Amino acid sequence: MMSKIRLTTFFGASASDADFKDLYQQELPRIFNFFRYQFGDDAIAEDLTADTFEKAWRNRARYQRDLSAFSTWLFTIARRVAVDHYRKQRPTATLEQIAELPSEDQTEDAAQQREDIARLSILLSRLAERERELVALKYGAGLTNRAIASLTGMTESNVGVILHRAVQFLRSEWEAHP
Amino acid sequence: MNDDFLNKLQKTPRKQFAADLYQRISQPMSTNLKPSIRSRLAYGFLALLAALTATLTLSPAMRVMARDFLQQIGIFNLSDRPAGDPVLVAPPSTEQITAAQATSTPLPPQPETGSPLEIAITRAGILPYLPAELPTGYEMEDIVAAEYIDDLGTLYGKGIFAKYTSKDGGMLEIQTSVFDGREIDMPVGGQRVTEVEVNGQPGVWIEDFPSINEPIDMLVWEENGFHLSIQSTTLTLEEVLALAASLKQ
Repeated sequence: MMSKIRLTTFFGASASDADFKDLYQQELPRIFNFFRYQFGDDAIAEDLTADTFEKAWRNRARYQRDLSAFSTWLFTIARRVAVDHYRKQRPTATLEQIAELPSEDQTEDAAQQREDIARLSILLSRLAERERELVALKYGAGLTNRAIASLTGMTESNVGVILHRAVQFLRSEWEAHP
Repeated sequence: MNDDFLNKLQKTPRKQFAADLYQRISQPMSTNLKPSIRSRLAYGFLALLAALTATLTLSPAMRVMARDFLQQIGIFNLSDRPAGDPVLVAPPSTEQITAAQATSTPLPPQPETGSPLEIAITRAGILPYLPAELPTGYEMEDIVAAEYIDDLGTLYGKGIFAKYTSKDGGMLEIQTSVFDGREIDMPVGGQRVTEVEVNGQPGVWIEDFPSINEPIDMLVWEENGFHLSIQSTTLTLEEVLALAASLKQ
């Protein structure tokens, strides 16, 4: 049986289960879209998101003093999970194959969104690992350049420069092959 | 930078996926094992411990070898599971469940009056061991009460954690805890563990123990029925032992 430690005070307030539930609801879309942008597939994104939260949640009691540190740690795990998955299963499907995958949502908008994210994933696979990850963190997870810099150990300006170049490439390819 | 096309591709996760995942991760880890298997493991561990204890008293050679992977400080068994793995606590007895229910204190309504130390003492119901003098450059950052709760939601201990920091990034924490007597398995595998004497009591010095931000060194011992721990990122064993000698309730 694993033990948990619950702090009952921390400057008069402590992180409760409700706080962690709020954190889950806040971070789930970020983590999910981080994976979705990288791999272009909802099912894979769900699997990797689940993997990330399962790994992190076991140790959440350690972070009851600092929920922001837990949030950062979630992304640290997510990055490792993404790298592992990418190396094991480099995306090789064509745009047509991805677009034809069955989906619960069969509306035209959903089909277009699925095609767009698959298209982006294929373009991202042509970028270097670091650029691909930065794009997923910025546009998938919605992190600021400062947060990305803190997470990756890069300078904020370096993050900005790399993202600028990556977006230029992605936009030109996006517009060249609508 | 025209990046609109990248911003519009985000999607909300499916509600069912979000709900199922939350339900799964909120389950206690121990539910992965059937109760009967858990009991068998616990009994097996206790039986192994008893057998080891008996063997150790009989065989000096075995005692030397066993020290390499198992040490005991009060109710704490330091095991060779990898450091950073979850701490394990034995299942509670019926008496311990009853006692925990009787003593478990719901969170009092906020705000409370008094200093953080007074609030922590009120909540934990114990007096913390605090140093007469701090190492140079350290100041108290906070002091909090803690409850140790297992995956069944049963209280098995209470404590007070006093945290000190220095301007150059050093961290020092002194933990005073009392437990209900259940054995606790603390993984220290892969770490350097040294037997030491602390205030006349047997203790251990564990180096580079994994923690959230950076590895910590930890001195652990028992004194007057209290489980005590000093954790530090910068202090030497000698400095921590001197600090331990200055602790007063």
